[in-house]
Amino acid sequence: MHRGSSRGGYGGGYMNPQQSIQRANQYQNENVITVEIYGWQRASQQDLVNFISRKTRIGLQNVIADHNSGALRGTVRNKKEADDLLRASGIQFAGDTLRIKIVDDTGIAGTNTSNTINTIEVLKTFLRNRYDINSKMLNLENMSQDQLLVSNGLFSSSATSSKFFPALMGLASKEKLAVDSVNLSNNKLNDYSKYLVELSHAFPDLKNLALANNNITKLEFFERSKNKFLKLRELVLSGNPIMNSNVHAGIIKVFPRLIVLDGQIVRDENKLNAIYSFSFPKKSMFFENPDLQKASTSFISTYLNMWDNSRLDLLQLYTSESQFSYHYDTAHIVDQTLPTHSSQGGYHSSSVHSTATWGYYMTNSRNLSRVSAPKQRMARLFKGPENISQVFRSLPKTKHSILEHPELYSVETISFPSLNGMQIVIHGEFEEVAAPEQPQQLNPPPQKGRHNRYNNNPTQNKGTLEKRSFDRSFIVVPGSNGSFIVASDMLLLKSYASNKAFLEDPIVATSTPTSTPPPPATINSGPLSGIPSTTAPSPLASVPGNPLLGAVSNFSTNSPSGTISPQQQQQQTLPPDIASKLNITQQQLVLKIMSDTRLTLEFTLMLCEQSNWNYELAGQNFASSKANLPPQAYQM
Amino acid sequence: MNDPTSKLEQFLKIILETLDQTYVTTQTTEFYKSSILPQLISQSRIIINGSPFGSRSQFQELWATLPQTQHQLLSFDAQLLPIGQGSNNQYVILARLKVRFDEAGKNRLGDCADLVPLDKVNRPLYGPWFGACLNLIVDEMINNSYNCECISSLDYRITEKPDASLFNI
Repeated sequence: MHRGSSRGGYGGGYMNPQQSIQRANQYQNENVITVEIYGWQRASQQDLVNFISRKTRIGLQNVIADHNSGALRGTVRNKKEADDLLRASGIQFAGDTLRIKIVDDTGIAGTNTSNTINTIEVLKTFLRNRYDINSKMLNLENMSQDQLLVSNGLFSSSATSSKFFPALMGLASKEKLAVDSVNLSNNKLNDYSKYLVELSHAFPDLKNLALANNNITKLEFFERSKNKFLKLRELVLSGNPIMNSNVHAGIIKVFPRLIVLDGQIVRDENKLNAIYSFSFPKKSMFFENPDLQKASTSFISTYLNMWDNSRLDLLQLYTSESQFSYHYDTAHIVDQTLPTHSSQGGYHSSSVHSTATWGYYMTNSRNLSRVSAPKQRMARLFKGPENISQVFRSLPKTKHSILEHPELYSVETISFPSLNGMQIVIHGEFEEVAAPEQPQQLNPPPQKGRHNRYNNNPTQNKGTLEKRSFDRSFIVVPGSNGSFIVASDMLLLKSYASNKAFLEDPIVATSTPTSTPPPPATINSGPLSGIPSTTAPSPLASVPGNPLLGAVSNFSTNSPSGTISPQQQQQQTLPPDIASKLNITQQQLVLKIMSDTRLTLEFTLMLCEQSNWNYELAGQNFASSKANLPPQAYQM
Repeated sequence: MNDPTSKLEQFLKIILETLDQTYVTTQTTEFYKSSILPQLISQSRIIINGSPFGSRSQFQELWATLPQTQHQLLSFDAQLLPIGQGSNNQYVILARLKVRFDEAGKNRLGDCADLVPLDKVNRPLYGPWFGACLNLIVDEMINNSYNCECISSLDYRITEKPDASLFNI
């Protein structure tokens, strides 16, 4: 409906050609930036202008040479051109090196550099005068009558007037003012004013905006700002001709979070918040119960510490049945630019869009959506300590900061009843601090084919050291001597993304959806309070006092009390000759049944064998035969 | 060579489709909710952004209140864990996804917050992509059928958040 009406309105608003040219010139002048170039004097002024045009495709305007300072001053059309030109600084020209600098990056002073500093100070003073820090309000009402601005000539010509607001908003951005509300009433704004666009650049999170008593007549004034003010809640438009038309719905559509338009409530705020919110409350940490919290936080902190400092010592957590694999994914969902450290030394700026930075990981990455050949898939799955040690050596040395900055990590821990273990999933980041100990090609070279040339590329195993994000999943089961066994370990490496997605909001939500179900188990969320403050990089299974050993004593997801008596703890070790004949699952089953039934090891083994190593069946068999068992079948 | 993971990609795509399917007004809302991840065991361990859910139906109830979503599987890895005699083996799956949400101002059941009539298009207006990590424990019975109750644990965590999104997590 509003389309028709807006087309009708638009029809009356065409400008004649002369007006169009004037508008175009005015727009062009609004954004002009002054630059200075040095080191050009071995050639003529025109040669330099031509050279710049050839090299950068930027046309210098209003060029004036100052032979005393050696500067050639000119203007470019906008900030982007100025920034592009600045990148050419250092280029060789006529046997000399050009040095380029931006003189007036707000554009307010035009070519008159001497006024620049003064003008900026005037604008800063004006901003200070009009800003209320308590209400986070910037009152820009009736600016053309402001004594400070008028006395400094900021509205003395159409050129300075047009540059004024972009420059003011540029400064406001730099000052990083916390602004929720802006009042732009009584500023003679018309349909062609670009104030709203400039405002959106400076304050994209604006919540309240007053534009009362201006001369806005068309919806296009707002549509230029579509998708700009995503948090605008209240808009005041009284005193504008547009409020006499029937385009209110169009205005509401431009601002998707608008609740109040000229005092009228146009959307149900609670409903809107629910629609634009992920209904699932965000918690950075989840532990199914306190025992798992204790066990998993100890495990994670110690594991990551050792991963960084003595990675190969972790191998004792991996048995012949343990599996490890990793993969990386180069997709960039949120752009970040990071300093990176090349393996040759020295830092340089790098966009995460580079795919050449994954060289250390390419050989064995097991992304099953890319690696489709069964042989390749199996070759990239590492089983047993010996194979796992090779791939551990082939990965860069790292530094995690979970102890110093637990807020950069997120953890979920749940029980894994099938193996009487737990699953830990951790998300976070690490720094690569050194090249791999032994970068190597563990897999046999791929068969000859059209891809072979890529695999023979000698750069494939080279990589840069970067900060990366990761997700990692562990299935951890209790070991026979009270330590942990990692049954499954999967690592996913990604380009760095911050912790914004899982960092809990500082302000707790005031209401929880009524449909939110009760949790199935104890929730323990919050910082990793269980992480010990110091974790020596020591072998996990053999050092007395290791936090993991303390944790494992509570690690029984089916223990009614969540704790195991010292006697039970003692019993959690199978004699080596028995353990050597059983796989991990069988060992866990024996220990579990011994704990549950109080049967001796001998009778437990009999029960397990008769029950085909099935826990539930063993329970049924025990229940049906326990009346006939002799007293010596039970532990003393 | 026998590849135990050969069917997982298809399985993952199917379960993501159930998260993204649109509500058709001719079906009942209860039927629609029950079609969201029916592969979950009714008492699965379900953790979404660190919040637990007691049952599949509670999860389905809440997922149906979200705006329309669109998921894409970016990468995944999986391992098959031997569980022991008498039990099926289980897959541990670690997947990277991206997901985006309809920002047209309505949820997938069509509820909106407008108090004045707005001329809205019916198609979704998707916002920017978020990154997510999906971790599943899945029974190996999926090699026989994708449409069975086979997911005993689901951990869905949004790990990357764009700046310019209307949608809050």
